[in-house]
Amino acid sequence: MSHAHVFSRTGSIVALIFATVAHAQFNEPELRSLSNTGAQVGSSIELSVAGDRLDEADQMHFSHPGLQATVKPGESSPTYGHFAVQVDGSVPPGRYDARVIGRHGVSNPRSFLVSHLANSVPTSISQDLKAPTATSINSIIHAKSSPSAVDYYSFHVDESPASTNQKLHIEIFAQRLDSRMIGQVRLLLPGGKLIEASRGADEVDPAITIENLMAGDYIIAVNDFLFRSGDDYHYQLAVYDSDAKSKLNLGRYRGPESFSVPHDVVLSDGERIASTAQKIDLPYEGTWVFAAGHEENIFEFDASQGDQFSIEVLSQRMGEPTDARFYVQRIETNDAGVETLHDVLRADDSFGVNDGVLNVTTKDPVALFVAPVAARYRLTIQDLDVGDSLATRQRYVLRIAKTAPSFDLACYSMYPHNDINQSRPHGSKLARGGVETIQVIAVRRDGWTGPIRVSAEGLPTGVTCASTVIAANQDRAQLAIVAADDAPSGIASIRVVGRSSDDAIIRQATPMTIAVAKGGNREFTRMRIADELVIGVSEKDLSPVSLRLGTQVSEPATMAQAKKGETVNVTVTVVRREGGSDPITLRPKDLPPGVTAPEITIAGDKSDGTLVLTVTPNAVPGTYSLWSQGETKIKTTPESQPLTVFLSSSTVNFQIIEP
Amino acid sequence: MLTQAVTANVAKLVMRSAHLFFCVLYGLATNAQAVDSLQFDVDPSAVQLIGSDARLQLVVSRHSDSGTVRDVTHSADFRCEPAGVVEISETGQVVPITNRTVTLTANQPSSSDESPAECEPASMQLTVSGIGSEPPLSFPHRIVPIFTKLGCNGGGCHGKAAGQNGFKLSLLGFEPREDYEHLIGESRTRRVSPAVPDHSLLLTKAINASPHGGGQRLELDSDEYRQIRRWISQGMPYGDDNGHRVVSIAVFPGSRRLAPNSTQQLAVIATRENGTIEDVTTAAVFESNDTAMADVSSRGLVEVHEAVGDVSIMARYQGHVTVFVADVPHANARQLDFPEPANVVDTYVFSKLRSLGIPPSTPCDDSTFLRRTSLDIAGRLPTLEEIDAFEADSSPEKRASLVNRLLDTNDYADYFAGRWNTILRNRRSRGTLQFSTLAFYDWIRESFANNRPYDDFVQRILGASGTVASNPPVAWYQQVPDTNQRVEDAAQLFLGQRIQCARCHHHPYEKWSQADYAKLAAFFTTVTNKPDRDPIEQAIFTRVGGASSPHPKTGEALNPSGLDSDKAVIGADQDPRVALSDWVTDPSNHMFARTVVNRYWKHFLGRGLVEPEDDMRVTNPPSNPSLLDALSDEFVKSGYDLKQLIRWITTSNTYSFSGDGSYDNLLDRRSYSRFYPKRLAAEVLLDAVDDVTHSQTVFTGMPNGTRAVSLPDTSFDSYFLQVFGRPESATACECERSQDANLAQSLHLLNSEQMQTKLTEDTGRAAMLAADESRSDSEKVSELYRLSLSRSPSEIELKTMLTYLASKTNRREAYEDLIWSLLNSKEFLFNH
Repeated sequence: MSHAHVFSRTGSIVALIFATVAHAQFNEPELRSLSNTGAQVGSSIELSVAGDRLDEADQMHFSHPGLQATVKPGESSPTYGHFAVQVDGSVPPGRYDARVIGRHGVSNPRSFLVSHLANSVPTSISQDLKAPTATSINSIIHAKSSPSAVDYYSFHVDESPASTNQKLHIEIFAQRLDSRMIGQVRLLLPGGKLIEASRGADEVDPAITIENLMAGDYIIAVNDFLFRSGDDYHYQLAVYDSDAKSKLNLGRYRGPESFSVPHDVVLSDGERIASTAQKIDLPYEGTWVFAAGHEENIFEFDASQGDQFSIEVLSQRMGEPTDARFYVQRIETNDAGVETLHDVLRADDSFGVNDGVLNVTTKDPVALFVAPVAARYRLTIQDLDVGDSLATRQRYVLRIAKTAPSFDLACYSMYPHNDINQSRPHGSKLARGGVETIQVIAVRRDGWTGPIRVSAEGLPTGVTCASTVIAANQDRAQLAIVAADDAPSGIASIRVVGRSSDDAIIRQATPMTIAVAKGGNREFTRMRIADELVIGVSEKDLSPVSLRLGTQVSEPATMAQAKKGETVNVTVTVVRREGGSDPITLRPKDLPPGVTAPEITIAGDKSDGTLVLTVTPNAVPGTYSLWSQGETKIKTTPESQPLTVFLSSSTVNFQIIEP
Repeated sequence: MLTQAVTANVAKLVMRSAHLFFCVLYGLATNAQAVDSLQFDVDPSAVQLIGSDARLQLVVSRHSDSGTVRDVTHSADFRCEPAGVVEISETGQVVPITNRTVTLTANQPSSSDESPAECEPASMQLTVSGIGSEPPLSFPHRIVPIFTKLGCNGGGCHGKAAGQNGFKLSLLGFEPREDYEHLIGESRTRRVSPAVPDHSLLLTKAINASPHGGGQRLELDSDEYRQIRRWISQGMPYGDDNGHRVVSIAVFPGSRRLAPNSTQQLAVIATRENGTIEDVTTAAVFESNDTAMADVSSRGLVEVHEAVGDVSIMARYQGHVTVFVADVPHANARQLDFPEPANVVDTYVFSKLRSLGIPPSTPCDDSTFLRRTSLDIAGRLPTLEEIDAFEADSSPEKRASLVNRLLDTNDYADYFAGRWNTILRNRRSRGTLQFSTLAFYDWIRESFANNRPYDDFVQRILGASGTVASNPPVAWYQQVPDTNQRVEDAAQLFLGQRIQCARCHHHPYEKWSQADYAKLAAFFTTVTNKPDRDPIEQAIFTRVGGASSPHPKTGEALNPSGLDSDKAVIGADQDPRVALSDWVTDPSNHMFARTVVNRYWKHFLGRGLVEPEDDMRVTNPPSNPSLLDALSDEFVKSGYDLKQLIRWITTSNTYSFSGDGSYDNLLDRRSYSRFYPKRLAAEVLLDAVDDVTHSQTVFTGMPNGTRAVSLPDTSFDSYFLQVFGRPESATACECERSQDANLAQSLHLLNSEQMQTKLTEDTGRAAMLAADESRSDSEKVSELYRLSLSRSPSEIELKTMLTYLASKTNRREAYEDLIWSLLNSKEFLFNH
């Protein structure tokens, strides 16, 4: 390699670092971790926050009003980032979202666990098996995984029958508390002999349940499975008995695919199915335990010709480590009583929607069954994930219900970058004149195929959002949250709502958040369901550039129309303010099938441009929404270098009609 | 010390007269009154000599009253009545001359020193026919075998994929039609010249009259030359397949007890599809599985060397294989004493040793046993506390108790998980620690800690489906992404079958065909993957559809079936791998249990009953088949209990034999009359060095205190591990691990910076001992010996060490030197 080549590469790296730093300063705050990720009901604790762009963090926002934080006072000004948190005695145990509010807006949420157990945050954790950190039953310790090391704890089981006969739970809370840590926990004898071990995974925390421990001392070893460490590798170690378990309410990781679980579905204890076919009557709903290994779960039911049912297995979405598949066969029995099976239906993964960041595809099969003839049918359910490392007893709900065509929605704030692989946890910093884009994703069920009109509700004063449309042949659309030039500061929990054309179906979108960015040897962006979708307006900031889209509409149409083969001109209005005088490259995003539009560049001295949408013969008639992303450089204080930023435009709707 | 003793004893043995062994064993020199008899080992009446190319290799044995049988083929006198019908060479090869039935008589003069007794001759009739009416020579059945015999179509010559110098033949002649096209259709007829056959390159190169990279392969005055020449002069007919295909071959005799330094002529008889039986000895290829025991000539003459034991000779012809097995008993026929058999292991080992007249070594002492079992079961040296406790234990069951204690340690699980992890090819694909690698290692480790039954262990790997997080054996499919490699790995790992040859051609040393391979591969053809959360760690599952694999030649879709097994019935929605793992682990599938038993046997005894341990085939028989069968049966009955298998082996008297060989068993390398010393495996050795020096090797990314035997894969950068033969884990073969000793290892232990650092660390053993003023040097030297060699020093060793310490003013350096000397001793480096 020549020296010139080396210098060239070095220069690129330096430029990249500068760009990243600069970009970071312009963007929304990122809350990486809390020093204290939970508290006991009715207690007061202190915590500090860590992350990026948390300047002047002086408020916290929890998803339960019984959780209140006040910034710690300082000599001349508050001790930013340090809070006293009061957990009201009325707060039910459970996981809540905590956000930080500061100079750069409101942060992304981090999980905060409220429980009845005593919480403690030791100043240091032992990595010496022979001198472990003490803990006790029915308590929680907060810690961070140590680099290339194992944390050791000890606890004692006394000789009372109540202690030795109890069922004991040793559990790590990490993934469920937005930690990167993949936990591994081992219960050892003081000499190091292993008694029991459990390992977590992405979105799964490890837990050990053990009964009838003899009186004596025990060691708990905790480590990140990949021996990683850092601020965002925090965990809680909980040791508790069965009484306490019933009061904990953390549940499983709330993965994005679980948003499509019907609200009335309950995963009960269930029982393991017999090897013979289970006769059921339709409609049906019941919880079962998957047969072991590769064995099948067989049900039989009668149906009349034309009967329509939605057959749905709910398991992976309920947090079970499963991958179900089912097939339905018609049973034909001849005069000699010999059965012949005829394939009718097969179903595997469902709701396959994945935008590269949010993936709501579930491994649970969901399918519409229409009985071709009156007959007895056999439903065979397989679990393709035959492992038992994460759970030895894997349950599922079989739900066979009358069809109810509908849809479910999920939404999240898109990270402002042209490369989705850069997506990371971020909050909301809506400068005056600025735009924040909300991605709305839809899954349709039971054969429902219509368009969905999407809008935002509960917007604060000075903030608007035009409704958009998820066309019948699309599974996503974007909402542009636009702050007026005079919008006052404040944060608001907003709602995204979708409606069918006739308003017969109305669904509120489930808010999602990026929990963990790619990195740490895990090559995917981890998302979870959030308690709420929060936006924050900053009246101290004025967006250097505002991008507004519009179309010329001729009467009597209410929006621009184009036939196949025609074009639609979308005007781009640029409002430039201080620091926003650079050229802007504008890229139309998420175009509907059959529509093309090249990117355009609007010169630094121009304040408008035109996006030309070409409607090809492959386009499908319908109403669509368009948004675009502009890439430009801005200058903001205190940054002396121009910053490359990615700015969202507003949205505009248009129609494709038949020639 | 150990090696010197071995060398000296070998030298003594070599100086012994082989002839003396022979005479003492069989007592032939003093048994002048006995009447012996000769017998033909091949019944010539069953053999037809048809045509002038036919040959018959006679095998004549001399049977004595005492029951001994000795090959006299090359010393017998042969007569033919009437004369002139056949010629019989001195080596017993019959060449037909004219059509007629003759009487053959074999006799052996009584004047021979070796055969002083009277001897009854043997005779029988032989019919010659077809002389003068020979059909044209068949290319596939007459010419191709010559190519194979001469090595022309071997993998190192024209049989390799690209051929050699423009001339390509199929490997071992498995594709005669293609060979024919290459030979006849290429090279503008220069290879074969019907007009002037002797000018054909095929012949001129073979006799090296034309430049030939392979040198001379053929004599001008040989049957093979004449046959090829005649075939060319006949116009190079391809011939027909009608009935000529070989359906089986057999070797005569099939087995025999042979004396050291004796010979045995073999004959190979082929049966063709049309029922004809034919001697193919001259065309068969012979190979010894242990050339230290015996060699075999191209004409089937076995020459046994001095060592006692067993040896097998493979004979191969036209894709068929057969084996001659010889026991070579010890010359000394004295009464041998054996301890009471502890279990099935001793029963069959002692039986063989008795049969061969090999005396066992004495039992090893307790300290040796403690060190041996600790290294073999837990992969580490015994601790001082363990040594003290074992010495203090006076229970007669102390050795069995020790084995149980070791099997119950985390170290056992670590050690065996590492061994299996390596051959399961569990190795990260990226630089840093990888979830799937760690998860699979963890699962393997847990399996051994919990003593998961071996059949379940294998079923879960072969049938792995799902995500690696939930089902870590899925990582095996991630690490071995190619269907062919999955087939080959599974066969090698769990069945001891190296079936990869059959992917491209019929297995040269086994019966497996390409169809067999394709049917086995069919089990894996519906395996596919889909993205999981992390796209690099794809989930594995089976897609819906019928599993089948095309025959590589015919394209016929072949359904899944196991080797030597009926076609599996698998529905389109079923996972074929369930049927596969059921078949693999079925108790009736003897390959399964035998393979793991043999693998474990090698781990503990240093040499497999079958070597290599994952190459079990009819042509590579076990050294003690009864033992392998019996131990495998017991293993199956135990519910595939691996810990129990280890208990059987390590609590046997056989395992407890001393590593010191006696005059009578030092040359034994296959019968386990003594413990064969083994160099410590790379990881075990590094940990042992760390233990003795009280240092800690740091492995990037792993917690401090991680031992080398506990590493989750073989990707950790370590020159020490590399130079001592740590495998790359790139294949399923145990052979990747090198247990050899070499100069680089010696230099590293003697003089490397790493060793120097370990010896001189401030927190190291030498510094600790030097600073310890509470104990005498004698106590500290004794501790060093116990730490490194698990025994106390002898008087002279202690005196030598103390003298050295006294001579040095820098005590820390002096202790460093003592530790250095112990670490470089063979007693430390070997498990003995």
